[in-house]
Amino acid sequence: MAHGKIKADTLEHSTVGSLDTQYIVKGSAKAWLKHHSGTAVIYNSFNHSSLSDIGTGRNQCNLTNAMSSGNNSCTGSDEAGITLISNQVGMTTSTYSSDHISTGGSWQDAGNCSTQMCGDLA
Amino acid sequence: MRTPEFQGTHLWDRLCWAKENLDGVQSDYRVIYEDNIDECAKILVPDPNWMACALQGDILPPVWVYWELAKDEAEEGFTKHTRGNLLHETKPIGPMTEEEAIEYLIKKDCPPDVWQTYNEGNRQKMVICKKKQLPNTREWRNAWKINQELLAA
Repeated sequence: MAHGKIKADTLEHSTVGSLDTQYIVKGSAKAWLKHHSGTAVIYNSFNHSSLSDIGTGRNQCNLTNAMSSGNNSCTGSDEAGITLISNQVGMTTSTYSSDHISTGGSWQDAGNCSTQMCGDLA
Repeated sequence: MRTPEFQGTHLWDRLCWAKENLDGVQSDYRVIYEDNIDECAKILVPDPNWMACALQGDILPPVWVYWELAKDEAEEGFTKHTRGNLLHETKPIGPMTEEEAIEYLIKKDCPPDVWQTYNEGNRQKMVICKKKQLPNTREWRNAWKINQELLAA
């Protein structure tokens, strides 16, 4: 497979302006995951090596390409509506937690859980 | 499909290639482990895209690279990785069988004090099983433990 390479610092549109490519490199999600918290089934993903079911409504997500630091922005949602990121397991450069709670405040398994990780890669 | 020569290519770019060219592989294996006596057993599920990379070979770095990064992160005052290049510049590991891939994953994603001493002491802390061997329902999930009697049988 040939690997073509375009090097550019800026993308410019003919009428609406230009964009530094660093916005894409630094601003795009570095990992994402769609899963079921109860069965720990992974529907689709990118840059994850595994998912651990660590209890009702609680998952630890493990990355393949670690992040540069543990200070990243990670968001999530599920079909029940409340997802906490890294509540039980402190975020590291290669792990974060996706925890799901009910409106009553207790852990609950949820389907259609999704997470996205933004930050700098190691 | 042959894997391109990836040594020196950023690992993230390799994962992009794999996502585009390889079909995900849903493994039937599950790793059950206990890393805290006060907590329930945990269940590790391999990621299908990661498993595809492992079976394909020449994409993932050897597992010791992750150990080196973990060592750096464990040091006091750690703020960010300075040896992330190990992920990208170390010669990738060749094709693995599914069983070898599970072993690699255990050494990457399970706590070392679990897999290094899983069968020492008075109870086994880790077991590899098939998905169908897990309980059918989630009842009492937070009280699940590895069945030591079943292991002894």
